[in-house]
Order: sequence, then C-alpha cells, then structure tokens
Amino acid sequence: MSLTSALNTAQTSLSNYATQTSTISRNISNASDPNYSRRDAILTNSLIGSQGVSIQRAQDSALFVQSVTYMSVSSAQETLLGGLTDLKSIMGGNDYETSPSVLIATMRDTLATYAAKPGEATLSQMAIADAVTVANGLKDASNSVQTVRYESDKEIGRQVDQLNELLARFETNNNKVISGTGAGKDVSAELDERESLIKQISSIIGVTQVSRSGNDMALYTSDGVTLFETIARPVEFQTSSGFSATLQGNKIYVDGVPLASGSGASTTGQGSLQSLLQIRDDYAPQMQTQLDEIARALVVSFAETDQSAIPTLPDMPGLFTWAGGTVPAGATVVPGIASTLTVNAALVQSLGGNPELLRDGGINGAAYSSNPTGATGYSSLLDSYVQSLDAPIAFDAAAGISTNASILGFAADSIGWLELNRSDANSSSVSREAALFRTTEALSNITGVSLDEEMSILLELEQSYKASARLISAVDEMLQALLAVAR
Amino acid sequence: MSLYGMMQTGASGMNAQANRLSTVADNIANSSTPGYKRATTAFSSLILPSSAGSYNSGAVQTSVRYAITDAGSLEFTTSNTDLAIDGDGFFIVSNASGTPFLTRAGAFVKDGDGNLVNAAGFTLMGYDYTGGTPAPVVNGFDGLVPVNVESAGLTATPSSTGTFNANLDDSEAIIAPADLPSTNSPTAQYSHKSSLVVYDTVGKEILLDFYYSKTADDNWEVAVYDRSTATPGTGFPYGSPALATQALTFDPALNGALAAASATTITMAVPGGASLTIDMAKMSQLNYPFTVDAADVNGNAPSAVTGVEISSDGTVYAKYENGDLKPLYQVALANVPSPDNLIPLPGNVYSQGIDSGVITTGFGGSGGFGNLISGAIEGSNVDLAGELTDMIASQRSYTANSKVFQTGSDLLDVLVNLKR
Repeated sequence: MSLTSALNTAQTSLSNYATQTSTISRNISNASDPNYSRRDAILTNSLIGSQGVSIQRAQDSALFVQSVTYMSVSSAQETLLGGLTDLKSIMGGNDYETSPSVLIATMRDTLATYAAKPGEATLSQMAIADAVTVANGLKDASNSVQTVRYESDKEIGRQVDQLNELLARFETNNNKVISGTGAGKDVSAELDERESLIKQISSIIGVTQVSRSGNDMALYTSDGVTLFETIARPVEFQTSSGFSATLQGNKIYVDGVPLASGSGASTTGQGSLQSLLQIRDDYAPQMQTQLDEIARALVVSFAETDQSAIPTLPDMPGLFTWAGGTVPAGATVVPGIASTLTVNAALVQSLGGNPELLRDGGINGAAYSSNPTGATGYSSLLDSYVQSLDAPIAFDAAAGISTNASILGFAADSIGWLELNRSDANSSSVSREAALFRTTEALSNITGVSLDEEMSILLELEQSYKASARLISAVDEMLQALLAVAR
Repeated sequence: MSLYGMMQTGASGMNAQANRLSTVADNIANSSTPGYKRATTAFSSLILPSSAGSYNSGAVQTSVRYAITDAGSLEFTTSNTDLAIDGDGFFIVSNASGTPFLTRAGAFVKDGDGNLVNAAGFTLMGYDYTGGTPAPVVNGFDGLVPVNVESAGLTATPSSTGTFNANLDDSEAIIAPADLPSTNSPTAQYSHKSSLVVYDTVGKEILLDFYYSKTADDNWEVAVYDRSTATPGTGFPYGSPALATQALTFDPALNGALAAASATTITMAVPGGASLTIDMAKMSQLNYPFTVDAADVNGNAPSAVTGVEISSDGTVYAKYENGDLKPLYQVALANVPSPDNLIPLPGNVYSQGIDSGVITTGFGGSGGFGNLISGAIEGSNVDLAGELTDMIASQRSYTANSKVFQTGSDLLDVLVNLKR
C-alpha cells in the first residue's frame, strides 16, 4: 500500500458516501409515497478490490402478489356492495317504505276498509289512489333497476377504457424496464411505476404476474387469459344505449375471451369489472324478474272473469292492466310487465273512469259485472280481492325465491333476498378490506421508508465521510512532510 | 591507483545518480498517466583489475529497468470503453501507419470513424466477428482490425424457441371432436385460450392464438392460429388453417404432469418467420383454474444500438434497445515471455525487443491472460512517496560523488604544487 493508493481509496469512499447520501435523500423525499419502494445503497467489494455502491430496491414479491390479489378481491366486493346498495335504495330507506311489499299492504288495508263500507265513494277513490301508487311504485322500481343496469354498463365502458389505457402505459413502462435492465441502469423508479400500474389494473381486473427474462413481465387475468405479453392485448366492450328487461348487455372480451362475471354475494369475482357484470347480468335482472312476477300476480289476482251463466269471454285485466292488455297464463314470468303496469283507466275518475266499478266489476264490459244491480252494499268482489292478496299462488322459479306464496309474502321475500345479499356483501366487504389493509401494511413494513432508520444511517454516513476527509488531509500532511525533507 | 581514476569514478557516480534522478523526474511527471510503468535504475560496479598492493577505482554502470509487469492500481471511470487488464497481457494497438504496438493504457474513446483510440492516439485492435467466432493467430498480428463500435445497425431476430407452462383445468368439460379448434369451424369451442407475441424474420410482431381444448379425460389438444387471419369478433373460423396442432396426454399418477409418452413441444412455422418450437414440458393438469406460470419466446423487433459493452473476455458487444447483445469484435491481448524487457516508446506503448522474446496473442481470461475490466483504467504504478525518498537519496549520493571528485581535484592541486 502506497500513499497514493491510500489517497485513491479515500477518494473512492467519498464518492461512495455521496451516492449513499443521495439515496437516503431520495428515500426521505418519497417517504409518503405508497408506491415507492425503499432503496438501499449497499457497499460492495468487487473481486478486483475496488469498492462500489450498488443500489438495491426493497421488495417482497410474495407479499406484493398477495396484496395485489386482495386489492382485486376487495375492489370487486366493494363494487358489488355499491351495486346492491343502489338496488336497495330503489326500495326506499332502511324501512323499505317505497317497496312493492309496503305499497301493496297499504292498498290491501284500504281495500279491506272499502269492503267494510262499499257504499262510500271516497273510500273507492282512496283504494284507486293506492292502486295507482302500487302501479307507479312497481313501474319506478322496474325503471330504476334498468337504470342501475345501464349505469353499470356505462361504468364497465369507462373502466374498460381505463384498463386499456393502463395496459398501454404498462407496455411503455415495461419496455423502459427491459431496456434499462439491458443497459444496466438503475430501473428502480420504473419498477415503482410498474408496480403502481399493476395495483391500478388489479382493482379493475384480477391479475396474475409472470416474470420473464430481462426483468420482462407478462400479465394474465385471474382466469388465465393474456392481458399483457410483450404488447397489451385488447380489452373490448360495447356499451348499450339503454336497457330493458329483455335486453342482454354485451360481453367484455379480453384478448377475444369473454370475461366471466362473479357469483355470490361474497363474490368470487376479482376486480370491479366482474362485479359490475354480476350486478348488470345477475342481481339486477333477478330483481327485475321478481318485480315482474309481483306485477304479473297483481294483474292475475285482480283479473275479471265472465260472469255470464255460460262464460264465453276470456279473463281480462281488472284493476291492474299492462301494455299487453291480457291476463298472463301460467306461473311464467312476463319480462318487463312491471314497467308497463298501470291502473285501468276505466276506474280513474280523472281519466273519465268510474271508481265504483272496482266494487261492482264490469270494467271490461257488462258481461264481467258481478253486481249488475249496482247495490251499494255489495262487497263480495272486494272481499275476494283482499283475500286473494293473502292467498298463496304459484310464482316462476326464475325469480329465485318462493314459488308458492301470497303476493304480499312474495314481495316480502323479495326484500328478504335483497337484504340478505346486501348484508352478506357488506360483511364480506368489511373483512376483505381488513385483509387488504393488513397485507398492505405488511408490504409497507418491508418496502416502505422508515424515517428514523434513514436518519440514523445518515448520521453514520456523516461520520464516515468526515473520517475519509480526515484521511485525505492526513495523507496530504505526510506528503508535505516528505516534500519538506527534499530541499 | 591514480587520482585521475578516482576523479573518473566520482564523475561516473555523479552520472549514475543523474540518471537515477532523471528516472525519478519522469516517474513523478507521469505519476498520473494511465498505463505508465515506473522506470528504475539498477547499478552495477565496473571494477578494474587490482593487485594486492594497489587499488584501481573503476566506475558504476547504469542500466535502466522498467517495472512493466508491476500492475498499477485500477481507477474506475464512468466510460465503459475504458479498459483495464486485471492480470498479464497487453492491448494491441496500432499507430496511424498501422504498425502494431503493445500497451496497458486503456483510456479508449470513440473517434470520428467509430474506432476506439486511446489518449496517445493509438487505435485498439481486435478480431472481427463477421466470420463467426474469431480464433487468435497465436504468434503474430495477422487478421487484426481496428475495433469499430459504429458498424452495428438495426437488427431483428426471428423467434425460434419459447416456453409455455400452465395448468390446464381438469374440471373442464370435454369438447366434441367436431367442435375442436383444430377443425377451424365457426362453432369451434375451446377450454382455455392464451396468446403469445412472436417475431418474423423482419422483426414484425405476430400474435399467435393458442387454444387448449380437452378432448377426453387427461387428453388435451393444443391448436395455434395466426391472430391476423381471425374473423373479427368471433375468432373462428380463421382465414388460414391452424399453424400447428399437438395432442398432450397427462398422467394423473404423476401428479397431473405430462405422461411419459406425451409430446412435450409444439413446432410451427411462423408466417414469414422461422420454425418456432414451444416447450410445454412443464404443463400440468390439475383441478385448479387455468393459470399461466411461465411464457417466453425469443426473438426481437428491430431495435437500434444504444451503446457498447465489453465483456471480461474482450468481446465488444453492440447493445440494443431491447437489451440484446450482439458481438462485434473481440479485443486481442498479447504478451511476451519477458515483459520487463519490452522497449518503451512514446505514448506508453511498447514494442518487441530482442530480449523480450516472441509475442503470443490470445483473449482475455484465457491462456494466462488477465480479464478485461470495462469502466476502469490502470493508473501508473508510480508511488510518489517512493520517488521522493529516492530523490533525496539520489541527491545525497550525488553530493557524495561530487565530494570524491573535489577531493581528487584538491589532491591533484597539492601534487602539482609539490614542484616549485
């Protein structure tokens, strides 16, 4: 070891400490960025005796994969809960005050009062007014369900656009990582960016990462469909301009493969897209079916039959009618019936109708009249209406709830079904969010910046820097002493 | 036994010390010249025949030595065309007229023509890779050309090999033979689908669709189609038949791995490209969703050169945007049996002398040659402290010699004054 090489070494250490200090300052300035991974500047001795600094980026791929999965799952659950809450809000607030169940019960009570005093004209008008509320309530609910589907569809469109944009950014970023790695540059910043993109993508769609040579990465959906491999794969979706009970929404195609929707209130879907599909194609249509079944049951229960000695005329819709104008036969759902349900105009006074026909029958002509004499004390028809609301009838199994129940019971079941799914989704959402929080915390413990740690390293570096500087001045003094001898 | 002889001896001593001081001066002047090798002086006595009764002072003979084998300390730089040799050997450089020399001064930079030239203006020589991997001409400089780092243009590599490993879901339904993707019928169904980007000979990206379909329990069919011929929207039918189909058989007894008799690769001709073989040896069939474990294909799109990289065996690679390295030249190293006897010439170069022995050439890291280190230069092996102490010693020695001369002169004076 000569003095010159001592000088060289001291000089190298000075530059190493400078690099380490700059790394620490970068860590500190990014301490609050959740997508930033801590860098460690580590002193390394190469085989040829030189000392250098290599910058290492803190990472834990297993935890990262886990946090990305929880992110997908949690985002899916939250989206599903949002959709179910939207569906619930159609039924009013916490007491479901605008639900068909409550409205029909009110109408039944009014009808019962009317049946007790069939001669009171005001009671007939009240009964009709309640019937109008029921019809409007069902119509509004049906339209709102379709609006929820429409909004979900629009949201899918927005998120697919966002996903395509994120994948395009991922492609640019991935290329930077590859070329940077190939060129031997420090690609930590690009890796941070890539991880942040994966997080964003995973909240939209479940992602599996596959690492490839040269720091390259391929992304697959949780179903194994290629999302990104060298180039971004297209995610295609056409929004629908409107929704009705009979209209199916379009599928989302990832690399040509249709994306499956999630299933269950504690959804199996990963990422918001699968949950939006679930709301649009599963929950909302099922709720529509239930509304349609209630509407169909109302039309059937209030239908008028031919009162002639030998009935020849078909049954006709009575108090409630719909666009089809017939009485649907059998326990089969009529898609969209709820959206066209109205109170028969022949009963509405403001439309020139006669409310008392409710008591007497004969809305569809004299042949259907049960009280041809118009006796004001006639109440059997009204009584039969009141009873029919509580009598069990057959419902279509497609509605997914009871197949043999009274209208009121079915309407209550419908609310029970919705509330069950919503509360399941709610509790799942809470637990999944907690799981996400825990993994994110665990990941951040490993990759995050700890300020006190950085500060203590900084103090060490400061001392080492001073020591190296002192060494340089010592060597300088020694050389000066030597020069002083040579006179 | 003569005063004249003694004075001659003193003068010879002074001469010798002057030589020594000259080397010290040169060493100090070049103490930060890359690749400079310290010059030292070695003295030998030249004693005249003497008899028992008389002594004839002789003289001192100077021979200058160069500490060429003594490696200088490595100084790290930020340029990767700066080269140092960690061990024995010399770079072969040539001057403007093409004469080859040896040097350890490795601060090479690219000149206007793309040749690597060091601070003294010598061009680095190596063997060209255009005719395949070069072999050194062991005992001469034949076949050496200037290392030119600008001769690489765009390059594209067609895909030829790849890997695809995934788990196929055992619980998938069996697909009827008439509906298999290999039939290319509009009603074709598949169990799983994936896609891979491959490159043709001009580096165009071609997207291949891979269909995996369960044909029977433990039997799967892989069909590969060119995405560009797909029917928009539906995929099937494709405009051209399947590029390749392959049957895979799994063995439940092997934990769902491929059966011993099953095919493990699928080979296809990439449209406009090379024959591509995808290795599927690690595919599995378990009751678990379709999951891709590894997917990779070689080849690259046309990419431009972003720089050069020099490996420890002296291979000069052109580095492309996509990280690929293409060898262009291999830097040749040379050595002689006695490097310290090489003849130093201006510009830190050495030429072969009679005493140095015959030149042998080779590559870094082989046959006794040291490894090349890119991004470092070899500093001079001068130690300032050593030179300064030498200088002081030399100064004192010179003074002592002058005293001898002076004493001789004084004695002669006395002698001359004897005769009055």
